[in-house]
Amino acid sequence: MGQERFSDRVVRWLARLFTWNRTLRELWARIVEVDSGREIPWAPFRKIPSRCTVALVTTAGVHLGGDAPFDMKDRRGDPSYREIPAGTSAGELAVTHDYYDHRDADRDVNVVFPIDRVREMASDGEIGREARVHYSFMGHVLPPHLATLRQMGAPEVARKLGEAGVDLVLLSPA
Amino acid sequence: MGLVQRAIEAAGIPTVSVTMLPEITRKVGVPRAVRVGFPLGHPFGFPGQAFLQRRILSEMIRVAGAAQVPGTIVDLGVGEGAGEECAVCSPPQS
Repeated sequence: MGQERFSDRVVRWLARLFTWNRTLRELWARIVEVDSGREIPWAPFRKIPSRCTVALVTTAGVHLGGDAPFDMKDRRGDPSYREIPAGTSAGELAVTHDYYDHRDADRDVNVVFPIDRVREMASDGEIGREARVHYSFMGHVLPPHLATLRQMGAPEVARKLGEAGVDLVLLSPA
Repeated sequence: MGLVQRAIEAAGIPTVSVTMLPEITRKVGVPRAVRVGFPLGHPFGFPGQAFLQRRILSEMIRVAGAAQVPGTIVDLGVGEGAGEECAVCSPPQS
C-alpha cells in the first residue's frame, strides 16, 4: 500500500514536469514513435456553422461528477469513454487523469472542455446547436488497451455522433 | 487523441483538434488542427479566460471550412513560441 502511494506520487510529479516544462515535452514529441502512417481520413466541411450541430470530444479525462471515474490503478490506461449530455454545466464535471497537471482544469473545466462556451455560441447563433451528447476519453492508453480503444471505443463514439446528426466535432487533448 | 479524431473523420464527420504538440500531431496525421503554445492540460488557455476559450473555438470552426488538405495545422499564434500574428487576441473580423 505504501509502495502504491509512492508510485502514485512519482507519476503525479512526472505529470507536472511534462505539463509545464516545454523543453522536456518538445524532446518527447521528437522521439516518441506513433503507430499511424496510413492515409489521413477526410470529410469535407461545407455547411454553414450557424446551422450546424457541434459536439465536443476530449481526451482530458473529464466526466460527470456522479459518473464512475476513469481507472487510474491500471498503468496501461483506461480505454473506456464517458458521455456528457447537452445542458451539463462546467460545475457538474470532474477530471480523473493522473498523467497531466489538471489543477487549472479543476478550477475551470472550460480550459480543457469548453462546454459553457459552446452553449453560449449556440445561444448567440454562431453555431446551430450543441450536440445531444459530448464524449470524453482519458488520453493515457497503452497496449493492450490501445487495441480496445481503436477497435471499440473510438469507432463506437464515431457511430453515435453520426447517428445523432452531428455536423462538426471539435476535439481537445489533455 | 489523434486516433479518436481519425476514427470520427473516417465515419464521415469533419473534425478539428487543438494541439500543443504539433510534432506529434504531424506524426499521427489528423485532418485539421490548430496549434496553441500553452502547457499541456491547457488547450483553451487558463482558468477564467472565457474570451480566449471562445475565440479558439471560433478559429477551429473557421479552420474546418478553410482547410483544403488533410493534415492542415494552423498556428493560432498564442502562448509560448508564437511566431505569427495572434489570431485569437482580438474579436473576429466580420
